Amino acid sequence: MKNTKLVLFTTVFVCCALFASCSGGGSNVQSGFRVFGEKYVQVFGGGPPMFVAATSIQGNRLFDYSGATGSVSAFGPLLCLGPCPIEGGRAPARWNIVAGTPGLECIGYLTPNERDVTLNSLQTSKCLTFGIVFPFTAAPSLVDLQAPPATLVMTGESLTTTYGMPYIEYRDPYTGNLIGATSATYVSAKGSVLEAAAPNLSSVYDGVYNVLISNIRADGSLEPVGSSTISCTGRPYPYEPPPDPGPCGCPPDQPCMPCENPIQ
Amino acid sequence: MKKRYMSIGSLILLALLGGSAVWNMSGSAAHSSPRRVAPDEESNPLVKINQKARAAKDGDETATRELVDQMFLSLDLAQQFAELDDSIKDRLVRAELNHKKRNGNSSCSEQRVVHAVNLLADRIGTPAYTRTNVFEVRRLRANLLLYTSDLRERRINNGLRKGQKEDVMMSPLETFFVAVTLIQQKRHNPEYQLTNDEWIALHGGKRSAGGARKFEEEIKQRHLNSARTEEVRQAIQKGFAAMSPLDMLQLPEELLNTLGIER
Repeated sequence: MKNTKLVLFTTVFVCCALFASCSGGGSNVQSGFRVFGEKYVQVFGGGPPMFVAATSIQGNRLFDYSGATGSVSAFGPLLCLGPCPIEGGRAPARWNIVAGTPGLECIGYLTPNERDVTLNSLQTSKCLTFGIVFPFTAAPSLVDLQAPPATLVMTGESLTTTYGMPYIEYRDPYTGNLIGATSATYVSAKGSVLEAAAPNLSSVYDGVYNVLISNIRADGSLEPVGSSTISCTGRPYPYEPPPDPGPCGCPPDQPCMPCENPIQ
Repeated sequence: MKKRYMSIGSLILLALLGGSAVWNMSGSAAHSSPRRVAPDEESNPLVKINQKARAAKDGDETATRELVDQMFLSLDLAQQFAELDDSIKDRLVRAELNHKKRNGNSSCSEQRVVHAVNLLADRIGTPAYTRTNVFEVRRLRANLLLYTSDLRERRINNGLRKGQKEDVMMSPLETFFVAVTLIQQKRHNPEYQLTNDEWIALHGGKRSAGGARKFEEEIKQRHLNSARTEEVRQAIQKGFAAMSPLDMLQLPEELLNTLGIER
């Protein structure tokens, strides 16, 4: 009986989720337009934004364009299964549409809030929420690979030496590979400047490399506090193709597990 | 058994629709008054996941379960239908605890994430740019390090070495988290809605110190029009409409197995 209920429930859910016919999930509107709010996180001051969740969205019409129809001039905050249909939303018109709660939940936007809305269009608002890690500046920021510097200096904040010298990791932004890691040799008293020996750059090529700076915790684990980039020149190289993941997702140097068969 | 399939069935649907706030609806399609949030605590869902991950590092069952609950909550995987989530959560908790008991040995890896995400793209028939590769998974992991570093066992002098050989192995929970997060990026984030060839082309075709500028400009533009996000959304609807109910229910089990998450 319980299983039957589950089957029925899941069937309803599947229909609802996949065909987006539930309230708030319609993929089409009879009139008006659709809206969707997305939340991204980004390192303070820059870095690649990463989608973290859908979020609420609200809007109000600013003014009409010629031929505008519809009776709805404001909506939200709404949070829907998919894009929210704004039935009767006035269009074509200029609207102010924002995802999330400005100031509290969102500190910025990847999309303009004021926008021209046309009939049956999808309006996505992307808000930037609070990041955790702050940007550091690196000196030198441009490295000649034929004459690499002996040391690098990073300037930021929140550095501490309580449980050890901060740790610096350098990663290739294409492969994601760690290309080097080293501990700081000096940290200023205010915790805003560190100095570290440059990593071995003998197998590094032209490009911009990501730097992650972490403090050491009492248990020896790493706590990221900042990120930066370093540009390298002097050793051109094309992008290599990604490695084949191998059969059934087996790591190259580990025993192979079956993909399809039940895992014991 | 059937319950397990039902639960897993719901999981994959939620994972696919992850980020659509399916379970955040809290009983209605719209919040009339959104909850006010404190900036550092709740507005960034990754903060809480990292806090729970840190608490669960020693393999405590309660803390691990709280971490799994937080993942489901933060990733919009669940909130209302607890009965349906339980077996999935149990499997994840069990796999994670066993992983810790075995001193970090696991069959989970970046390669398995690649296979699972590509398997999903193939089954549903989503565009080529929703497929992934080891480099992209590694890039995502590197980005996640900024926010959820405690999901990953990172200690100074514990094997983090040039070439990252040791790092390809992942815990079951990190594997699950990375896979679901990557699916979310493939659905929404223009930076991940690229084939490898497109990624290279947008960086000027060869490694260069200034190669990222063109890429960043292009991604900024793509954030404005969300064309690929809409294309993926339609492909998912079409793909599932063409799938038999049995295939639909078996797919999640296949995906969790592919990820290497033990039962």
